[in-house]
Amino acid sequence: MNRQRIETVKILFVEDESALSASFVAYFTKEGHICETAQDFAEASEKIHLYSYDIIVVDIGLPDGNGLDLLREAKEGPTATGVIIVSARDSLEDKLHGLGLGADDYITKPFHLAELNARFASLIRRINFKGRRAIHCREIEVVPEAKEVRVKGKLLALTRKEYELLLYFLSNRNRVVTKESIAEHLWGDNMDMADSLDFIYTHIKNLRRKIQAEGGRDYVKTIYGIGYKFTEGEE
Amino acid sequence: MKLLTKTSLYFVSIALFVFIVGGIVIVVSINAVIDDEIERALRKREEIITTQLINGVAPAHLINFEQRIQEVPASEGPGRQARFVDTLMYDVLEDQFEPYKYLQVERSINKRRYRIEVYHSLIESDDLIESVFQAMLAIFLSLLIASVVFNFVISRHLWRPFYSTLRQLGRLRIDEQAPLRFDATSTSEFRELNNIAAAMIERLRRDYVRAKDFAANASHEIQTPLAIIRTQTELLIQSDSLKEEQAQALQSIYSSAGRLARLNQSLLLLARIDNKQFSAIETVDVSALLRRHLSETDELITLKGIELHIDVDDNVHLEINPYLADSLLANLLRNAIRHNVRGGEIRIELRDGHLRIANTGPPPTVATELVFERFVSSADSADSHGLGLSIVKSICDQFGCWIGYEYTQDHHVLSLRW
Repeated sequence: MNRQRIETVKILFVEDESALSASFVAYFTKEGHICETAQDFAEASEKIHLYSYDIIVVDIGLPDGNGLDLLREAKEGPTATGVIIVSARDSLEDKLHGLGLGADDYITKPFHLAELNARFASLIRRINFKGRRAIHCREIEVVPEAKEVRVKGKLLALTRKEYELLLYFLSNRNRVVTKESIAEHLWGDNMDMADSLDFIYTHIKNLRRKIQAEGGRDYVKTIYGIGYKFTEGEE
Repeated sequence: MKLLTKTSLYFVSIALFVFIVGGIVIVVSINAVIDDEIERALRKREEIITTQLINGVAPAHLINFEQRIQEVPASEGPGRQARFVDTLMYDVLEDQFEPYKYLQVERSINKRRYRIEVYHSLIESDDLIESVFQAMLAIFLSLLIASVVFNFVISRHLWRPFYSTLRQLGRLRIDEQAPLRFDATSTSEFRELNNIAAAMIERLRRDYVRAKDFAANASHEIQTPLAIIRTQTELLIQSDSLKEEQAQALQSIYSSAGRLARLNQSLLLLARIDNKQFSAIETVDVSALLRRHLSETDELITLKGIELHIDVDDNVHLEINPYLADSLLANLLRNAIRHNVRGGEIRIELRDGHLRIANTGPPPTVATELVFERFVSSADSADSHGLGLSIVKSICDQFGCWIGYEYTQDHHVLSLRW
């Protein structure tokens, strides 16, 4: 069931709010994925049986059925479908139950699109390469399994947060990543936005410094006051 | 002071006043009657003496202890008018002075002038007044005793439904649906009180539930539009043709939506705690959970230059919903970091049945007893919505855990006991 390419992925969003799923589709189509949506349990169930998807994003709180049942159906299908369940922040039971039923990842509402994108990237790696594949971006190579980062073959000594930050940027290449989403990705909601700006700045500064020290280029751009963009740039 | 004691006191003091006035009136009128009697008797006796003197009885025969007859020499001036005089006379038998009244009259009989004095003892009237006073006192005292007994008996019986209602109202919790059971009573005032109280509580509970549901529903309904705003904004931000001012407007929308989303999450959590939707209880290893949270926030603490002093016992357990335990510790730590100062410190002490978190920070700008109230927050932290400690308090209340806050020696101290 191995696939050759990871870039083009078929995703089904099961979400009853059409405006929300429309924005998912817009965002992830740009990313190069093929996106479909299902508004309710019945539609989702039908699509899962008829077509095959690489990833299904299921909101557990559907109006006409439990998203966990969809998870079961998806996992019983013939293809290795990755399932990410979406639920309210405070339902720990849903999370544990969903992961117990074989969900691959779990994300709480409300989430940043960049965050969901990072989860996709990690999930795709896990499905297709069992996480053993390195991520390349020009002279930068990241081996997620070993949590190692190399620039021009030389190992970087990154802190855990710096590593997570780099991986987050790489998952959201050529995209504007907001400060808020970085802060939430790195620290959860444990922190004041006012503080986090300084901290993010510090981390990014250190990451740039470490990459450049080994001869890497500076790929992180500041986008006005919004956030940062990791641009691969032209050859 | 109890109502009955109060009414008894009023009753007794009015009775005392009535008895004093009544006593005085009785004594005065009895005195007047007796006086009248005595004066009449004295006149009668004087008449008899005069008659006897006219009939030629020698004055010497008529003189005794209570009758004196004196011949007045002609040289003395004109005779005095008859008069009554009060005096004291020595009583040989009693060996003391006793009060007497006498009538003094001057009469010319057979060309002689006699001064006649007739005496009457007042001792009986004194005795009478005394016994009247004693009787009054006896009646008054028995009235007093009767009222105390009455008071006691009445408060035991008549007022029982009232005190029962009072106890029930004192125990009443507005957020519980336990029905009120007022004692049946035949006293119409108490029945009315019970009916009104029951109706009022019913109304309060209905309003309370409505307000609670409203908060929960509103938060729930706000979620989706907020998520749409956020994702659409995130989408817009990706546009390549953004100008700086547009980008800044989007940034402002985006971060405001983020704040609103966080606030809404907290409100929803509060509503769910209040609705007791976290009833699954497990034994949670607080020590392990606290250490995990500390390792997660370790970096934040370091970045803020805060010094951390931990004194945590192992194997401290608590019967609590695991999600709420998580939320509790997260909020406590977040609070200690958020309201701290650069270069400050956090001291955490965990013992069995006791958790104490102290942190440095600017002095409180709100009253100590208000820190757990919703939306009460010091102004120094624009990003905090003032719900963190309300959540902590709600969780503590739900699991019978005591929480207190104080500001001592430049430290904000939150103590939990269970």
